[in-house]
Amino acid sequence: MESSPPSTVISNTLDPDLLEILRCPLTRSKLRQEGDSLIAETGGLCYPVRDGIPVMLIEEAKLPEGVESLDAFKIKFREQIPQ
Amino acid sequence: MREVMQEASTRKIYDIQSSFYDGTFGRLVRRRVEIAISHMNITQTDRVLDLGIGTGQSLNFYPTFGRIVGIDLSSGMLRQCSRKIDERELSHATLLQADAMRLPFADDSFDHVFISHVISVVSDPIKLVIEAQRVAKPGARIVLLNHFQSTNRFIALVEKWLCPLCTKLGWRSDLPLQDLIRETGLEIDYRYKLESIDLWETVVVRNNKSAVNPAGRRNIRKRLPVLAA
Repeated sequence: MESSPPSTVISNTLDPDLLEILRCPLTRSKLRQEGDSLIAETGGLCYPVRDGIPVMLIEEAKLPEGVESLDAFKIKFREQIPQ
Repeated sequence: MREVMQEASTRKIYDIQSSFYDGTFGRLVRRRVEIAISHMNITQTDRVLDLGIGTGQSLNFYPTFGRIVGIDLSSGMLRQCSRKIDERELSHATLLQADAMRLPFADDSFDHVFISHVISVVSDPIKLVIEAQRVAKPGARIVLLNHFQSTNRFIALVEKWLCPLCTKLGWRSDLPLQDLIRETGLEIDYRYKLESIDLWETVVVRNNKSAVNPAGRRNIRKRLPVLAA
């Protein structure tokens, strides 16, 4: 369905100033926007943007291919996870 | 695990409360919020983080300039808030769903951080304040609007007795401010109550990053060499 109203498209494009300071809450790496997703540079956790609101919760993030669980992700990228 | 469970139940409580919040609990806090924001002196180019923006009552009191970033754990609260932003065409305000104890922002991003009635509802208030200190710029203002355990022994006792009930409602009353200061190295600029018997207090903190208590949490200690570099 490509008949979504243009207003939706506009509201889902993140303000560049916000994108500049936005980070993956787990790895603290920068994010890039691809449609309705924000993808972390490190590890590739993928955060959805729902109704124009980015959902920056690690439990809601889509895992990168080949990683089965969040725990597995944390082990795989433990060097990149601050704390 | 316990942490996750508490956050999940808090999230649920606030999702339910979001429908009637503004008319009940929300009315009580409005005046405190208004005064606290007026003290922030937000300028044209400032970035403000409203940590736990809820239904967005604070949006009534921010200036129409600057950049306001609001986060909340509850999608129900954010929906209400988003509606307010659309209705009032507040293009300088943006919302994110996020966990206050794991903020999705770079270090030194904000000129002001407003933490209104949030500290008592998270499982680890110290972690929350440390996160706020991290994302706030050096010298930024952090404003905590909260109920802290009374230093009056009798009132503290009543609060302690009420604690289990309050936890069910989504906020705790057993947090002494002194503990928070000791653990986080917070330096208080000033603090005030609206009335002498007010159980809520506004605490204004300057983000003095170099004074972070070295005896504080592990991640702060790890972070120090990075700050010095």
